[in-house]
Amino acid sequence: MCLRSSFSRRFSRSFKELNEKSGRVRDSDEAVGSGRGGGAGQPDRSWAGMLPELLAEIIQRVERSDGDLRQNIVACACVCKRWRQITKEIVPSPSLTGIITFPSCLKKPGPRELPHQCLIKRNKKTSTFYLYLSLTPSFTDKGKFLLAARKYRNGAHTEYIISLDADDLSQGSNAYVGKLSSDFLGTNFAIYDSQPPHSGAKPSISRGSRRFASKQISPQVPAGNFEVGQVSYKFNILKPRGPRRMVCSLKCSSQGETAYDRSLSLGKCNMKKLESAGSGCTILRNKAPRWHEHLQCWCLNFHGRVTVASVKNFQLVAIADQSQPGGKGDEETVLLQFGKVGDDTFTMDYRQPLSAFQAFAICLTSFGTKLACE
Amino acid sequence: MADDGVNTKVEAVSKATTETIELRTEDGGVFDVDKPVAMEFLILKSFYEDEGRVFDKTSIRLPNVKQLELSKVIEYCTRALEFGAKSAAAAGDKDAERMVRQEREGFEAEFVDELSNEMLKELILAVNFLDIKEMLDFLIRSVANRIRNRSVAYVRQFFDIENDFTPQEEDQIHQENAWAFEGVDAD
Repeated sequence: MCLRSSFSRRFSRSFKELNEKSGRVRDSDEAVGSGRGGGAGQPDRSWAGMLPELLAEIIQRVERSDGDLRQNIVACACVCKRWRQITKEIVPSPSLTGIITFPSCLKKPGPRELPHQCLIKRNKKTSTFYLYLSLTPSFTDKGKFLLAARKYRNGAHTEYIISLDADDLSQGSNAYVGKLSSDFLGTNFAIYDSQPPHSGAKPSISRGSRRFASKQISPQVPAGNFEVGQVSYKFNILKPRGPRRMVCSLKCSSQGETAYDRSLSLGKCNMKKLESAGSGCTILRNKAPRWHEHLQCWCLNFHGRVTVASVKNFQLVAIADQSQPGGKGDEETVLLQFGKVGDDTFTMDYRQPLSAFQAFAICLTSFGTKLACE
Repeated sequence: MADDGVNTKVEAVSKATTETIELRTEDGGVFDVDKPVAMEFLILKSFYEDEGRVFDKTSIRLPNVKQLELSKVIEYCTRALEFGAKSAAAAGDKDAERMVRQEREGFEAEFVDELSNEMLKELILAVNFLDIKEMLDFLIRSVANRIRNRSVAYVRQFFDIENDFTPQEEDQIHQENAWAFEGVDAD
Protein backbone atom coordinates (compact mmCIF):
# COMPACT_ATOMS: atom_id res chain seq x y z
CA MET A 1 0.00 0.00 0.00
CA CYS A 2 1.67 3.16 -1.19
CA LEU A 3 -0.18 5.20 1.40
CA ARG A 4 1.82 3.49 4.15
CA SER A 5 5.21 4.40 2.74
CA SER A 6 4.19 8.02 2.37
CA PHE A 7 3.17 7.93 6.02
CA SER A 8 6.56 6.52 6.91
CA ARG A 9 8.43 9.34 5.24
CA ARG A 10 6.39 11.98 6.97
CA PHE A 11 6.65 10.33 10.34
CA SER A 12 10.37 9.81 10.09
CA ARG A 13 10.75 13.49 9.37
CA SER A 14 8.72 14.33 12.42
CA PHE A 15 10.89 12.01 14.48
CA LYS A 16 13.97 13.74 13.22
CA GLU A 17 12.56 17.02 14.41
CA LEU A 18 11.69 15.50 17.75
CA ASN A 19 15.14 14.15 18.28
CA GLU A 20 17.02 17.22 17.23
CA LYS A 21 15.05 19.38 19.57
CA SER A 22 15.24 16.94 22.40
CA GLY A 23 13.09 17.51 25.36
CA ARG A 24 10.67 19.73 23.45
CA VAL A 25 7.18 18.36 23.61
CA ARG A 26 5.58 18.56 20.25
CA ASP A 27 2.16 17.60 19.14
CA SER A 28 2.72 15.86 15.90
CA ASP A 29 0.14 17.00 13.46
CA GLU A 30 0.97 14.15 11.17
CA ALA A 31 -0.65 11.66 13.42
CA VAL A 32 -2.57 8.65 12.33
CA GLY A 33 -6.10 9.95 12.57
CA SER A 34 -5.53 13.02 10.47
CA GLY A 35 -2.59 11.71 8.55
CA ARG A 36 -3.36 13.06 5.15
CA GLY A 37 -2.73 16.70 5.73
CA GLY A 38 -5.82 16.90 7.90
CA GLY A 39 -6.29 18.76 11.13
CA ALA A 40 -3.52 19.54 13.51
CA GLY A 41 -3.71 18.65 17.16
CA GLN A 42 -4.94 15.46 18.73
CA PRO A 43 -5.75 12.65 16.30
CA ASP A 44 -9.23 11.24 16.25
CA ARG A 45 -9.02 8.10 18.35
CA SER A 46 -12.55 6.95 17.77
CA TRP A 47 -13.49 4.09 15.49
CA ALA A 48 -15.61 6.51 13.54
CA GLY A 49 -12.57 8.52 12.69
CA MET A 50 -10.68 5.46 11.62
CA LEU A 51 -8.98 5.70 8.32
CA PRO A 52 -11.14 4.45 5.46
CA GLU A 53 -8.59 1.93 4.35
CA LEU A 54 -8.47 0.32 7.80
CA LEU A 55 -12.24 0.13 7.74
CA ALA A 56 -12.09 -1.24 4.22
CA GLU A 57 -9.69 -3.95 5.36
CA ILE A 58 -11.99 -4.95 8.18
CA ILE A 59 -14.99 -5.13 5.89
CA GLN A 60 -12.96 -6.98 3.30
CA ARG A 61 -12.00 -9.54 5.90
CA VAL A 62 -15.67 -10.01 6.77
CA GLU A 63 -16.54 -10.41 3.12
CA ARG A 64 -13.89 -13.03 2.52
CA SER A 65 -15.06 -15.16 5.39
CA ASP A 66 -18.74 -14.74 4.62
CA GLY A 67 -20.51 -17.90 3.60
CA ASP A 68 -22.87 -18.34 0.66
CA LEU A 69 -25.63 -16.63 2.56
CA ARG A 70 -23.70 -13.34 2.45
CA GLN A 71 -25.50 -12.10 5.53
CA ASN A 72 -22.53 -10.49 7.18
CA ILE A 73 -21.54 -8.37 4.26
CA VAL A 74 -25.14 -7.19 3.87
CA ALA A 75 -25.10 -6.28 7.55
CA CYS A 76 -21.95 -4.22 6.96
CA ALA A 77 -23.75 -2.31 4.23
CA CYS A 78 -26.54 -1.48 6.65
CA VAL A 79 -24.45 0.12 9.39
CA CYS A 80 -24.13 3.68 8.13
CA LYS A 81 -23.55 5.61 4.90
CA ARG A 82 -19.79 5.38 5.02
CA TRP A 83 -19.82 1.65 5.64
CA ARG A 84 -22.36 1.20 2.87
CA GLN A 85 -20.18 3.03 0.43
CA ILE A 86 -17.09 1.05 1.33
CA THR A 87 -18.95 -2.26 1.31
CA LYS A 88 -20.45 -1.66 -2.10
CA GLU A 89 -16.99 -0.89 -3.44
CA ILE A 90 -15.53 -4.04 -1.95
CA VAL A 91 -18.17 -6.55 -2.99
CA PRO A 92 -17.09 -8.20 -6.21
CA SER A 93 -19.13 -7.25 -9.21
CA PRO A 94 -21.64 -9.95 -10.02
CA SER A 95 -20.91 -9.70 -13.73
CA LEU A 96 -18.64 -12.73 -13.99
CA THR A 97 -19.89 -14.99 -11.28
CA GLY A 98 -23.39 -13.65 -10.77
CA ILE A 99 -22.87 -13.73 -7.02
CA ILE A 100 -26.00 -12.57 -5.25
CA THR A 101 -25.19 -10.39 -2.29
CA PHE A 102 -27.70 -7.57 -2.24
CA PRO A 103 -31.30 -7.55 -3.46
CA SER A 104 -30.17 -5.38 -6.35
CA CYS A 105 -28.19 -8.36 -7.64
CA LEU A 106 -31.48 -10.12 -8.39
CA LYS A 107 -31.99 -7.84 -11.34
CA LYS A 108 -28.46 -8.16 -12.63
CA PRO A 109 -27.46 -10.85 -15.11
CA GLY A 110 -26.59 -14.26 -13.77
CA PRO A 111 -23.28 -16.06 -14.13
CA ARG A 112 -21.52 -16.28 -17.44
CA GLU A 113 -20.47 -19.91 -17.41
CA LEU A 114 -22.14 -22.27 -14.98
CA PRO A 115 -25.78 -21.44 -14.26
CA HIS A 116 -27.11 -20.61 -10.83
CA GLN A 117 -29.10 -23.56 -9.54
CA CYS A 118 -32.28 -22.55 -7.77
CA LEU A 119 -35.31 -24.15 -6.24
CA ILE A 120 -38.93 -23.05 -6.47
CA LYS A 121 -41.31 -24.24 -3.80
CA ARG A 122 -45.02 -23.98 -4.41
CA ASN A 123 -47.71 -23.62 -1.80
CA LYS A 124 -50.91 -24.60 -3.61
CA LYS A 125 -53.18 -23.50 -0.78
CA THR A 126 -51.99 -19.93 -0.75
CA SER A 127 -50.99 -19.79 -4.42
CA THR A 128 -47.57 -18.67 -3.35
CA PHE A 129 -44.19 -19.50 -4.82
CA TYR A 130 -40.79 -19.17 -3.17
CA LEU A 131 -37.47 -18.95 -5.00
CA TYR A 132 -34.27 -20.08 -3.34
CA LEU A 133 -30.67 -20.19 -4.44
CA SER A 134 -29.52 -23.75 -3.82
CA LEU A 135 -26.44 -24.06 -1.69
CA THR A 136 -26.25 -27.83 -1.91
CA PRO A 137 -27.11 -30.23 -4.75
CA SER A 138 -29.98 -31.71 -2.73
CA PHE A 139 -33.55 -30.98 -3.79
CA THR A 140 -34.71 -30.89 -0.20
CA ASP A 141 -32.36 -28.26 1.17
CA LYS A 142 -33.86 -24.92 0.33
CA GLY A 143 -30.89 -22.57 0.43
CA LYS A 144 -30.76 -18.79 0.28
CA PHE A 145 -34.15 -17.12 -0.07
CA LEU A 146 -34.34 -14.85 -3.10
CA LEU A 147 -37.92 -13.97 -4.05
CA ALA A 148 -41.53 -14.83 -3.39
CA ALA A 149 -44.59 -14.51 -5.61
CA ARG A 150 -48.30 -14.77 -5.06
CA LYS A 151 -51.04 -15.24 -7.61
CA TYR A 152 -53.99 -12.85 -7.57
CA ARG A 153 -57.03 -12.86 -9.76
CA ASN A 154 -57.72 -9.40 -11.03
CA GLY A 155 -60.92 -9.32 -13.00
CA ALA A 156 -60.40 -11.03 -16.29
CA HIS A 157 -56.74 -11.55 -15.88
CA THR A 158 -54.26 -12.93 -13.40
CA GLU A 159 -51.32 -11.28 -11.72
CA TYR A 160 -48.34 -12.61 -9.85
CA ILE A 161 -46.90 -10.10 -7.41
CA ILE A 162 -43.17 -10.63 -6.88
CA SER A 163 -41.57 -9.50 -3.66
CA LEU A 164 -38.42 -9.61 -1.54
CA ASP A 165 -40.50 -10.35 1.52
CA ALA A 166 -41.99 -13.81 1.80
CA ASP A 167 -44.68 -12.52 4.13
CA ASP A 168 -45.54 -9.27 2.41
CA LEU A 169 -46.70 -9.78 -1.15
CA SER A 170 -48.49 -6.57 -1.98
CA GLN A 171 -47.75 -3.94 -4.60
CA GLY A 172 -47.63 -1.15 -2.06
CA SER A 173 -44.93 -2.82 -0.01
CA ASN A 174 -41.35 -1.74 0.32
CA ALA A 175 -40.37 -5.19 -0.78
CA TYR A 176 -42.27 -5.15 -4.08
CA VAL A 177 -39.94 -5.76 -7.00
CA GLY A 178 -42.23 -6.46 -9.93
CA LYS A 179 -45.09 -8.48 -11.26
CA LEU A 180 -46.31 -10.79 -13.95
CA SER A 181 -49.58 -10.14 -15.68
CA SER A 182 -51.43 -12.47 -17.97
CA ASP A 183 -54.45 -12.52 -20.20
CA PHE A 184 -57.39 -14.73 -19.40
CA LEU A 185 -56.22 -17.82 -21.21
CA GLY A 186 -52.72 -17.51 -19.93
CA THR A 187 -51.24 -17.39 -23.38
CA ASN A 188 -49.66 -13.96 -23.21
CA PHE A 189 -47.80 -12.58 -20.24
CA ALA A 190 -46.10 -9.29 -19.51
CA ILE A 191 -43.30 -8.90 -16.99
CA TYR A 192 -43.15 -5.64 -15.10
CA ASP A 193 -40.28 -4.26 -13.08
CA SER A 194 -41.00 -1.90 -10.19
CA GLN A 195 -37.92 0.09 -11.16
CA PRO A 196 -36.96 1.51 -14.53
CA PRO A 197 -34.62 -0.88 -16.36
CA HIS A 198 -32.60 2.06 -17.62
CA SER A 199 -32.63 5.79 -17.09
CA GLY A 200 -35.26 7.56 -19.08
CA ALA A 201 -37.59 4.59 -19.19
CA LYS A 202 -41.23 5.48 -18.84
CA PRO A 203 -43.64 3.51 -16.73
CA SER A 204 -46.22 1.48 -18.57
CA ILE A 205 -49.87 1.96 -17.97
CA SER A 206 -50.91 -1.57 -17.38
CA ARG A 207 -54.60 -2.23 -17.43
CA GLY A 208 -56.04 -3.09 -14.11
CA SER A 209 -53.25 -1.61 -12.08
CA ARG A 210 -54.79 0.20 -9.19
CA ARG A 211 -53.34 3.26 -7.62
CA PHE A 212 -51.39 2.20 -4.62
CA ALA A 213 -49.82 4.15 -1.84
CA SER A 214 -46.25 3.14 -2.27
CA LYS A 215 -44.07 3.01 0.80
CA GLN A 216 -41.18 2.43 -1.47
CA ILE A 217 -39.86 5.95 -1.40
CA SER A 218 -36.93 7.02 -3.39
CA PRO A 219 -37.53 10.37 -4.96
CA GLN A 220 -35.22 9.79 -7.87
CA VAL A 221 -37.02 6.64 -8.93
CA PRO A 222 -40.43 7.17 -10.49
CA ALA A 223 -43.14 4.97 -9.10
CA GLY A 224 -44.93 2.69 -11.48
CA ASN A 225 -44.45 -0.52 -13.37
CA PHE A 226 -42.06 -0.80 -16.26
CA GLU A 227 -42.60 -3.50 -18.83
CA VAL A 228 -39.41 -5.43 -19.25
CA GLY A 229 -40.49 -8.58 -21.00
CA GLN A 230 -43.16 -10.66 -22.64
CA VAL A 231 -43.84 -14.37 -22.73
CA SER A 232 -46.27 -16.06 -25.01
CA TYR A 233 -47.41 -19.63 -25.40
CA LYS A 234 -48.68 -21.21 -28.52
CA PHE A 235 -50.40 -24.41 -29.22
CA ASN A 236 -48.67 -26.65 -31.59
CA ILE A 237 -51.68 -26.91 -33.89
CA LEU A 238 -50.48 -30.01 -35.65
CA LYS A 239 -49.77 -31.82 -32.45
CA PRO A 240 -52.44 -30.82 -29.95
CA ARG A 241 -51.10 -33.24 -27.40
CA GLY A 242 -47.57 -32.18 -28.03
CA PRO A 243 -45.36 -29.75 -26.24
CA ARG A 244 -46.36 -26.13 -26.37
CA ARG A 245 -44.18 -23.46 -27.85
CA MET A 246 -42.86 -20.59 -25.77
CA VAL A 247 -41.39 -17.33 -26.94
CA CYS A 248 -39.93 -14.69 -24.63
CA SER A 249 -38.65 -11.27 -25.39
CA LEU A 250 -36.76 -9.55 -22.65
CA LYS A 251 -35.07 -6.26 -22.11
CA CYS A 252 -31.77 -7.46 -20.72
CA SER A 253 -29.68 -5.00 -18.82
CA SER A 254 -26.00 -4.69 -19.52
CA GLN A 255 -23.63 -4.58 -16.60
CA GLY A 256 -24.76 -1.09 -15.72
CA GLU A 257 -26.21 -0.06 -12.42
CA THR A 258 -29.89 -0.52 -11.91
CA ALA A 259 -32.16 2.15 -10.61
CA TYR A 260 -32.05 0.44 -7.23
CA ASP A 261 -28.37 1.22 -6.93
CA ARG A 262 -28.89 4.79 -8.03
CA SER A 263 -31.60 5.39 -5.54
CA LEU A 264 -29.32 4.34 -2.73
CA SER A 265 -26.24 5.91 -4.19
CA LEU A 266 -25.49 8.05 -1.21
CA GLY A 267 -23.38 11.08 -1.62
CA LYS A 268 -21.07 10.31 -4.47
CA CYS A 269 -22.93 9.26 -7.57
CA ASN A 270 -21.23 6.32 -9.16
CA MET A 271 -21.06 7.90 -12.57
CA LYS A 272 -18.83 5.35 -14.14
CA LYS A 273 -21.57 2.76 -14.10
CA LEU A 274 -24.51 4.94 -14.97
CA GLU A 275 -25.54 4.49 -18.53
CA SER A 276 -28.79 4.16 -20.31
CA ALA A 277 -27.41 1.99 -23.06
CA GLY A 278 -28.57 -1.17 -21.35
CA SER A 279 -31.77 -1.59 -23.30
CA GLY A 280 -30.84 -4.47 -25.54
CA CYS A 281 -33.52 -6.99 -26.26
CA THR A 282 -33.10 -10.74 -26.09
CA ILE A 283 -35.43 -13.23 -27.66
CA LEU A 284 -35.70 -16.73 -26.31
CA ARG A 285 -37.67 -19.74 -27.34
CA ASN A 286 -38.03 -23.15 -25.83
CA LYS A 287 -35.89 -25.95 -27.06
CA ALA A 288 -37.99 -28.48 -28.91
CA PRO A 289 -38.08 -31.85 -27.16
CA ARG A 290 -37.41 -34.96 -29.15
CA TRP A 291 -39.96 -37.65 -29.53
CA HIS A 292 -38.58 -40.79 -28.00
CA GLU A 293 -40.12 -43.58 -30.03
CA HIS A 294 -39.14 -46.27 -27.60
CA LEU A 295 -40.33 -44.53 -24.46
CA GLN A 296 -43.25 -42.94 -26.31
CA CYS A 297 -42.73 -39.53 -24.79
CA TRP A 298 -41.17 -36.14 -25.44
CA CYS A 299 -37.70 -35.84 -23.99
CA LEU A 300 -35.26 -33.13 -23.13
CA ASN A 301 -31.92 -33.64 -21.50
CA PHE A 302 -32.17 -31.88 -18.18
CA HIS A 303 -28.89 -33.29 -16.88
CA GLY A 304 -30.47 -34.69 -13.78
CA ARG A 305 -31.93 -31.40 -12.63
CA VAL A 306 -35.50 -32.41 -13.53
CA THR A 307 -36.82 -35.76 -12.43
CA VAL A 308 -40.58 -35.71 -12.93
CA ALA A 309 -42.21 -35.55 -16.33
CA SER A 310 -44.43 -32.52 -16.65
CA VAL A 311 -45.69 -30.28 -19.38
CA LYS A 312 -44.40 -27.40 -17.31
CA ASN A 313 -40.80 -28.44 -17.87
CA PHE A 314 -38.86 -26.40 -20.41
CA GLN A 315 -35.50 -25.19 -21.59
CA LEU A 316 -35.01 -21.77 -23.14
CA VAL A 317 -32.34 -20.89 -25.66
CA ALA A 318 -31.59 -17.62 -27.40
CA ILE A 319 -32.62 -17.56 -31.01
CA ALA A 320 -29.96 -17.45 -33.69
CA ASP A 321 -31.96 -15.67 -36.34
CA GLN A 322 -29.84 -12.65 -37.16
CA SER A 323 -32.73 -10.82 -38.78
CA GLN A 324 -34.52 -10.66 -35.46
CA PRO A 325 -33.43 -8.09 -32.93
CA GLY A 326 -31.56 -9.87 -30.21
CA GLY A 327 -31.04 -12.91 -32.36
CA LYS A 328 -27.52 -13.61 -31.32
CA GLY A 329 -28.04 -16.94 -29.64
CA ASP A 330 -26.61 -20.21 -30.73
CA GLU A 331 -29.85 -22.12 -30.19
CA GLU A 332 -27.94 -24.63 -28.15
CA THR A 333 -26.89 -23.00 -24.92
CA VAL A 334 -29.68 -23.37 -22.43
CA LEU A 335 -30.12 -20.04 -20.67
CA LEU A 336 -33.06 -21.04 -18.49
CA GLN A 337 -34.16 -24.48 -17.46
CA PHE A 338 -37.19 -25.24 -15.35
CA GLY A 339 -38.68 -28.50 -14.23
CA LYS A 340 -40.39 -30.59 -11.61
CA VAL A 341 -38.58 -32.68 -9.03
CA GLY A 342 -41.36 -33.20 -6.51
CA ASP A 343 -45.01 -32.49 -5.86
CA ASP A 344 -44.42 -28.86 -5.08
CA THR A 345 -40.75 -28.56 -5.78
CA PHE A 346 -39.18 -27.36 -9.02
CA THR A 347 -35.67 -26.51 -10.09
CA MET A 348 -34.73 -23.36 -11.96
CA ASP A 349 -31.29 -22.97 -13.50
CA TYR A 350 -30.44 -19.68 -15.15
CA ARG A 351 -27.48 -17.81 -16.52
CA GLN A 352 -26.47 -14.65 -18.35
CA PRO A 353 -28.07 -12.56 -19.76
CA LEU A 354 -31.07 -13.45 -17.61
CA SER A 355 -31.38 -12.15 -14.09
CA ALA A 356 -32.90 -14.07 -11.18
CA PHE A 357 -35.95 -11.83 -11.33
CA GLN A 358 -36.54 -12.41 -15.03
CA ALA A 359 -35.94 -16.14 -14.74
CA PHE A 360 -38.38 -16.42 -11.87
CA ALA A 361 -41.04 -14.44 -13.73
CA ILE A 362 -40.68 -16.64 -16.81
CA CYS A 363 -41.00 -19.80 -14.73
CA LEU A 364 -44.15 -18.44 -13.13
CA THR A 365 -45.73 -18.26 -16.57
CA SER A 366 -45.33 -22.00 -16.78
CA PHE A 367 -47.62 -22.33 -13.78
CA GLY A 368 -49.98 -19.73 -15.13
CA THR A 369 -50.57 -20.90 -18.63
CA LYS A 370 -53.65 -22.96 -19.19
CA LEU A 371 -52.27 -24.69 -22.20
CA ALA A 372 -51.78 -27.84 -20.25
CA CYS A 373 -52.24 -30.65 -22.60
CA GLU A 374 -51.66 -33.73 -20.58
CA MET B 1 28.90 0.04 20.20
CA ALA B 2 28.67 -1.88 17.02
CA ASP B 3 27.63 -0.06 13.88
CA ASP B 4 24.10 -0.52 12.69
CA GLY B 5 23.60 -3.52 10.49
CA VAL B 6 27.15 -3.57 9.29
CA ASN B 7 28.66 -6.17 11.48
CA THR B 8 26.01 -8.72 12.18
CA LYS B 9 28.57 -11.23 13.37
CA VAL B 10 29.18 -9.15 16.42
CA GLU B 11 25.51 -9.17 17.22
CA ALA B 12 25.23 -12.89 16.85
CA VAL B 13 28.21 -13.62 19.02
CA SER B 14 27.40 -11.59 22.08
CA LYS B 15 23.77 -11.74 23.06
CA ALA B 16 24.59 -9.86 26.20
CA THR B 17 25.12 -6.69 24.24
CA THR B 18 21.87 -6.89 22.25
CA GLU B 19 21.25 -3.42 21.03
CA THR B 20 18.21 -1.70 22.32
CA ILE B 21 16.31 1.43 21.56
CA GLU B 22 14.62 3.50 24.17
CA LEU B 23 11.03 4.27 23.32
CA ARG B 24 8.97 6.73 25.27
CA THR B 25 5.19 6.76 25.14
CA GLU B 26 2.99 9.82 25.33
CA ASP B 27 1.93 8.97 28.85
CA GLY B 28 5.41 8.81 30.25
CA GLY B 29 6.25 5.15 29.82
CA VAL B 30 9.83 4.22 29.01
CA PHE B 31 10.70 0.99 27.27
CA ASP B 32 14.03 -0.53 26.34
CA VAL B 33 13.24 -2.47 23.23
CA ASP B 34 15.49 -4.98 21.56
CA LYS B 35 16.57 -3.77 18.18
CA PRO B 36 15.16 -6.70 16.16
CA VAL B 37 11.76 -6.11 17.73
CA ALA B 38 11.93 -2.37 17.22
CA MET B 39 12.82 -2.87 13.59
CA GLU B 40 9.49 -4.61 13.13
CA PHE B 41 8.00 -1.17 13.55
CA LEU B 42 8.41 0.03 10.00
CA ILE B 43 8.04 3.58 11.10
CA LEU B 44 11.27 3.22 13.05
CA LYS B 45 12.96 1.08 10.48
CA SER B 46 12.43 3.58 7.70
CA PHE B 47 13.49 6.37 9.99
CA TYR B 48 16.88 4.80 10.32
CA GLU B 49 17.14 3.56 6.80
CA ASP B 50 15.73 6.62 5.09
CA GLU B 51 17.83 8.98 7.04
CA GLY B 52 20.86 6.76 6.75
CA ARG B 53 21.34 7.23 10.42
CA VAL B 54 23.76 5.26 12.41
CA PHE B 55 21.95 3.30 15.00
CA ASP B 56 22.53 5.01 18.30
CA LYS B 57 20.85 4.92 21.61
CA THR B 58 18.67 7.92 21.00
CA SER B 59 15.46 8.02 22.93
CA ILE B 60 12.51 8.16 20.64
CA ARG B 61 9.17 9.53 21.66
CA LEU B 62 6.08 7.96 20.17
CA PRO B 63 3.41 10.63 20.25
CA ASN B 64 0.42 8.43 19.56
CA VAL B 65 1.14 5.42 21.66
CA LYS B 66 0.40 4.75 25.31
CA GLN B 67 2.23 2.47 27.74
CA LEU B 68 -0.31 -0.28 27.83
CA GLU B 69 -0.49 -0.52 24.08
CA LEU B 70 3.23 -0.43 23.54
CA SER B 71 3.78 -3.19 26.04
CA LYS B 72 1.22 -5.32 24.22
CA VAL B 73 2.82 -4.53 20.90
CA ILE B 74 6.25 -5.46 22.18
CA GLU B 75 4.89 -8.66 23.64
CA TYR B 76 3.30 -9.67 20.35
CA CYS B 77 6.24 -8.73 18.16
CA THR B 78 8.73 -10.47 20.40
CA ARG B 79 6.75 -13.69 20.29
CA ALA B 80 6.16 -13.29 16.55
CA LEU B 81 9.89 -13.14 15.97
CA GLU B 82 10.39 -16.20 18.13
CA PHE B 83 7.77 -18.11 16.18
CA GLY B 84 9.38 -16.97 12.96
CA ALA B 85 12.71 -18.35 14.09
CA LYS B 86 11.16 -21.62 15.27
CA SER B 87 9.30 -21.95 11.99
CA ALA B 88 12.47 -21.44 10.01
CA ALA B 89 14.27 -24.00 12.15
CA ALA B 90 11.46 -26.50 11.61
CA ALA B 91 11.36 -26.03 7.85
CA GLY B 92 10.98 -29.32 6.04
CA ASP B 93 9.75 -31.20 9.08
CA LYS B 94 5.97 -31.32 8.69
CA ASP B 95 5.28 -32.32 12.27
CA ALA B 96 7.51 -29.68 13.76
CA GLU B 97 6.00 -27.05 11.46
CA ARG B 98 2.52 -28.03 12.59
CA MET B 99 3.53 -27.81 16.22
CA VAL B 100 4.91 -24.32 15.79
CA ARG B 101 1.77 -23.29 13.96
CA GLN B 102 -0.48 -24.63 16.69
CA GLU B 103 1.62 -23.00 19.37
CA ARG B 104 1.35 -19.72 17.55
CA GLU B 105 -2.41 -20.05 17.12
CA GLY B 106 -2.76 -20.80 20.80
CA PHE B 107 -0.77 -17.75 21.75
CA GLU B 108 -2.72 -15.51 19.38
CA ALA B 109 -6.07 -16.79 20.61
CA GLU B 110 -5.10 -16.11 24.19
CA PHE B 111 -3.62 -12.75 23.32
CA VAL B 112 -6.75 -11.50 21.63
CA ASP B 113 -9.13 -13.04 24.17
CA GLU B 114 -7.70 -10.81 26.84
CA LEU B 115 -8.35 -7.69 24.84
CA SER B 116 -11.46 -5.65 25.44
CA ASN B 117 -13.09 -4.05 22.39
CA GLU B 118 -11.70 -0.72 23.48
CA MET B 119 -8.19 -2.10 23.84
CA LEU B 120 -8.46 -3.79 20.46
CA LYS B 121 -9.30 -0.48 18.91
CA GLU B 122 -6.44 1.32 20.66
CA LEU B 123 -4.04 -1.37 19.53
CA ILE B 124 -5.13 -1.11 15.93
CA LEU B 125 -4.58 2.61 15.96
CA ALA B 126 -1.19 2.20 17.59
CA VAL B 127 -0.07 -0.59 15.31
CA ASN B 128 -1.24 1.29 12.25
CA PHE B 129 0.79 4.28 13.41
CA LEU B 130 3.85 2.16 14.07
CA ASP B 131 3.28 0.40 10.77
CA ILE B 132 3.58 -3.26 11.79
CA LYS B 133 1.96 -5.11 8.94
CA GLU B 134 1.75 -8.60 10.40
CA MET B 135 0.28 -7.50 13.68
CA LEU B 136 -2.16 -5.18 11.98
CA ASP B 137 -3.35 -8.06 9.85
CA PHE B 138 -3.86 -10.14 12.97
CA LEU B 139 -5.78 -7.41 14.78
CA ILE B 140 -8.01 -6.71 11.81
CA ARG B 141 -8.80 -10.38 11.51
CA SER B 142 -9.74 -10.34 15.17
CA VAL B 143 -12.11 -7.42 14.75
CA ALA B 144 -13.74 -9.08 11.76
CA ASN B 145 -14.24 -12.19 13.87
CA ARG B 146 -15.84 -10.20 16.63
CA ILE B 147 -18.42 -8.55 14.40
CA ARG B 148 -19.16 -11.55 12.25
CA ASN B 149 -22.66 -12.99 12.72
CA ARG B 150 -23.69 -10.02 14.78
CA SER B 151 -26.61 -7.71 14.26
CA VAL B 152 -26.28 -4.31 12.64
CA ALA B 153 -27.11 -2.75 16.01
CA TYR B 154 -24.24 -4.62 17.63
CA VAL B 155 -21.79 -3.49 14.98
CA ARG B 156 -22.90 0.12 15.41
CA GLN B 157 -22.44 -0.09 19.14
CA PHE B 158 -19.06 -1.80 18.80
CA PHE B 159 -17.67 0.94 16.58
CA ASP B 160 -19.63 3.70 18.22
CA ILE B 161 -21.24 4.60 14.92
CA GLU B 162 -24.33 6.69 14.49
CA ASN B 163 -26.99 5.55 12.10
CA ASP B 164 -27.03 8.34 9.55
CA PHE B 165 -29.58 6.99 7.12
CA THR B 166 -32.71 9.01 6.49
CA PRO B 167 -35.98 7.36 7.57
CA GLN B 168 -36.71 6.47 3.95
CA GLU B 169 -33.28 4.98 3.39
CA GLU B 170 -33.70 3.21 6.70
CA ASP B 171 -36.83 1.50 5.39
CA GLN B 172 -35.05 0.19 2.36
CA ILE B 173 -32.02 -0.84 4.37
CA HIS B 174 -34.19 -2.68 6.83
CA GLN B 175 -35.82 -4.49 3.95
CA GLU B 176 -32.45 -5.46 2.55
CA ASN B 177 -31.27 -6.79 5.86
CA ALA B 178 -34.47 -8.73 6.46
CA TRP B 179 -34.14 -10.25 3.01
CA ALA B 180 -30.62 -11.44 3.64
CA PHE B 181 -31.68 -13.22 6.81
CA GLU B 182 -35.00 -14.46 5.46
CA GLY B 183 -36.32 -17.95 5.62
CA VAL B 184 -33.06 -19.73 6.23
CA ASP B 185 -33.44 -23.25 7.50
CA ALA B 186 -32.40 -23.43 11.12
CA ASP B 187 -30.14 -26.34 10.37
